[in-house]
Amino acid sequence: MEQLRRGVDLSMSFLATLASLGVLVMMVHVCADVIWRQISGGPLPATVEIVSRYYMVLVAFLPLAWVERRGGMVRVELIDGFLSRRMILLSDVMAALLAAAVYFGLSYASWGIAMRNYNTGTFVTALQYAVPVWPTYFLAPLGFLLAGLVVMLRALFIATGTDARGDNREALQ
Amino acid sequence: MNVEAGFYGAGILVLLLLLRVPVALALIAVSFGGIAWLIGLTPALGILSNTPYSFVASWTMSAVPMFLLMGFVAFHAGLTGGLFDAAKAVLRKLPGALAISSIFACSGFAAVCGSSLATAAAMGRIAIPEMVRAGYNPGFAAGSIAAGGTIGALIPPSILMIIYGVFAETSITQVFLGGIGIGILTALSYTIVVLVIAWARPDIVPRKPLEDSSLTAREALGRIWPVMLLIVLVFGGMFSGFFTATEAGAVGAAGSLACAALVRRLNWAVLKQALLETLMTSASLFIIGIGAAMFTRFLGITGLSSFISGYVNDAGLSYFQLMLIVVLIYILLGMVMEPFGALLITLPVLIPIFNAQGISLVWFGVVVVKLLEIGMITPPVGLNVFVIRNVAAKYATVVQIFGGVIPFLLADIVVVALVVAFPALVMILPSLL
Amino acid sequence: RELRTAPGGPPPHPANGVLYTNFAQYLPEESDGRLTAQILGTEVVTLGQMKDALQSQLVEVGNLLPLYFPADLPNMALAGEMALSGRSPHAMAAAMTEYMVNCATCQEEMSRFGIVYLGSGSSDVYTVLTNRPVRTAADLRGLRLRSGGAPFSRWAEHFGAVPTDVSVNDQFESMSQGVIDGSMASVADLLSFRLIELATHYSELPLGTYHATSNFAFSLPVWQSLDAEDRAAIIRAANRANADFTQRWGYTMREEAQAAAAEAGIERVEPDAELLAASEAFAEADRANAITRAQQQFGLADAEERVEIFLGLVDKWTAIVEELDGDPAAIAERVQAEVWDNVDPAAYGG
Ligand code: NA
Ligand code: NA
Repeated sequence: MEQLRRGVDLSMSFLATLASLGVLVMMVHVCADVIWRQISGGPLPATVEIVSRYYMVLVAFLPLAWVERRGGMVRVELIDGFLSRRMILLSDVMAALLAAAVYFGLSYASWGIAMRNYNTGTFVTALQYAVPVWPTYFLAPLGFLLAGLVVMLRALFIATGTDARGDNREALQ
Repeated sequence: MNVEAGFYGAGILVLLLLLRVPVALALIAVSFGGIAWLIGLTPALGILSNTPYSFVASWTMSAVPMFLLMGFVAFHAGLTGGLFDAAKAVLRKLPGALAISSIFACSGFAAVCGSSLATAAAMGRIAIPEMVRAGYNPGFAAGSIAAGGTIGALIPPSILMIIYGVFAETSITQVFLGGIGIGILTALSYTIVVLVIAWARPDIVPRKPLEDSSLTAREALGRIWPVMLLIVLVFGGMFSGFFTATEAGAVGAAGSLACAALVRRLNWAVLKQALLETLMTSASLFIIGIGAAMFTRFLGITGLSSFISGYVNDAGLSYFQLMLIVVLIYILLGMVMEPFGALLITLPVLIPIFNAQGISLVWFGVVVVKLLEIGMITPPVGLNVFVIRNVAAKYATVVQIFGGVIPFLLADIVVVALVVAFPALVMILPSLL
Repeated sequence: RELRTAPGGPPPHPANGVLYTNFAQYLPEESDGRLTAQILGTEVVTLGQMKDALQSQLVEVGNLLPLYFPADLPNMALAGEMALSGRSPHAMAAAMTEYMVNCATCQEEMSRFGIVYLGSGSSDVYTVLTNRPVRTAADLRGLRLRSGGAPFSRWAEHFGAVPTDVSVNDQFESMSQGVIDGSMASVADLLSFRLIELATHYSELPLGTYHATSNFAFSLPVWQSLDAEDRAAIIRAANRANADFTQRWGYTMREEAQAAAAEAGIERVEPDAELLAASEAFAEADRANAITRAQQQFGLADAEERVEIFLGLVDKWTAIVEELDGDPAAIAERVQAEVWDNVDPAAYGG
């Protein structure tokens, strides 16, 4: 169980690293667009499309599983004070199972859309350029699937006592 | 119309939230179930399949991770560390100088950080121990930072204002400009609170001025110039037209990294920490946004949002009656909900009402963000109070911090009343530019 | 039966305020009360979500702009490439409708997409709204202009301006920040997008029309569940609303915006004859560009013949609109007679 936990954590770090790269590249690309505009008077072609369809999709969906692993999801803790530790554990397991169901549903549904866009070869036009965007549609089902798996594992870890309940809310808005 | 279904959906949502289901997942589950029940499984799957991508693949929304990165880099590289010292050096003669200095340090921090929680957490670590040592009532000390943190989302950049701008299709630059007004107003009102308490209750807030600071004004300036430079770069560039509010986030993040490198505080650990916190915050925010967008679509189909807007419009409410209702709604929601959920759930109902009444959506955005920030410090769910409790656990309990927040809440009510009565207080900057 | 309809635009937009509002009013009239429409707002479906909303039947009738889905709707996108040829909004809308209804591959394309086509509308003739006068070709050089589509970008580049890709919702902010100097847009954008606060001039230079719309994209499975009588009623209601929409978007909004501009002290600039001629010449020459693009990007081998047919229809309807003196009700009747009455509702759309 402990090995499984460590394996999960390692792969989560990999996801977070990839998404971090996405954040950095997004920053560099937008800055380059701003600077290029001052120099040449015109924009870097397709900046808006690439930022919104590539970096944003990567940054939003890829780290979901990692966020779930770190217990970073926001919830209302109105009745926590009234619950015993056992009850909180039970409710954590129940919430994790519901969350997994939601994630798998999202993954299934967005997979269908991704396949449709793959089949049409969806692109967007930026001025006169055609920017293919179909590949990024696959990031949503992938991110949701991983998040669902992690949530299931978390329920398992909580139930078997491998994990203490560790909500990391400090970094949150 | 299936207005009843809308009411049931809202009720089930509240129930799920109470049962500690994460906000985002509760929103998604209710919307999916509701649409499946009303129209059928295929449309419900349709909502599930396309809302996440279309919500996230947004140019304007890209400002959210960028502004977050800017703030986290500035904090972890210690660029903002000198703000408190500098404020103390300037304000040390005032009664309650430490509390007032920390409120002003929060305001300075706010100019590089888009989030209220991050502002409260950052300032709380430094200022609360020092206030308690100087004889402040610990609950009040912690409360003043919990409240001061809310300025983080009022003075631009502000993640809440960006999200508002996206949903209300309003100029984010204009809302930011309005935020400067309400941010300053809030800081001033909190300062008055400290002065009044120092005058009335010296056992809570010591009147004694600070010892001659070890820091001269010049030295203080030496410590804060990197962050000043960053503020000038981002806001100067944004308001003078070199880049838009959306682009300002990326420029600010790069500027933050550059400033950190300039003062030789940029290293691998700082970058890593800042990036991870950016991811954590933006990803959990986006998934709430996705859930809220689905819930909005569900409410739209039930006709509940147009039913309520129509009801309000037909009721012929006066401006003050309408605003009283809006304020009450947000204060009630703010007691139990986190601000993004509360914002995204209410906008679809309120935006059409304000549009119909011809009230400026820029002004309304500023007021809504202020009201949501009040929710950050009201019991029982006051996220700023919780985060302060985390960073200052040995000084005050949650109940004591909520107690310390009360005078600031009163000041907040006064500020809201002023802004409702005199919209110009907020609109003067947006109307100039 | 109540249909779930979605204009994809906010209430002030003519797609909502006129097109769908009027459709909702005509539908029970034409169907003796058998059919009604519920209008869903942008909080439920935006233009970018229309494809998925229609395909999942969240929405049964929706305003579909092929510009958002060029990979799915190459035939419509090709017609959109003809933007620079647009001079008469009613004629463009009618020509587009007749072209789409009688083009077999267009109909196949729509079926594959899962929708039935029920007519198009058109904007007014776009021009440039700027913060400096555009009178000569030299005035255009270096100007950063928002572009709403590839033909307008090509036009701008031809004259040495810099086409910029800003979403329509960002154009106010971008212009107030100086990121763009103006917009290639409808004069009505002065009001719709508050550009009246920023622009100082608008030109009378005719750029072209935005007419590649599918105003009432009807969900195919829902269409197949209706009998011929209901289908005919829907076609008539849609056709009437289409003409109202073009009247609003292409004419009255333009007049209102021009009046408001005059009041706001915004100068209306007459371009010089040389620029006018150069612009007309480019519009003609650009047809070749559009054809190449359609062949390469959209994979339409017979693009040249299609353009020929389409331009022939534009000439035909320009003459008819002139003959009818631009009266929208008369134009709607003529489109009904010339296009829709030749369609067998039981067979149309499959
Ligand atoms: Na801020
Ligand atoms: Na609260």
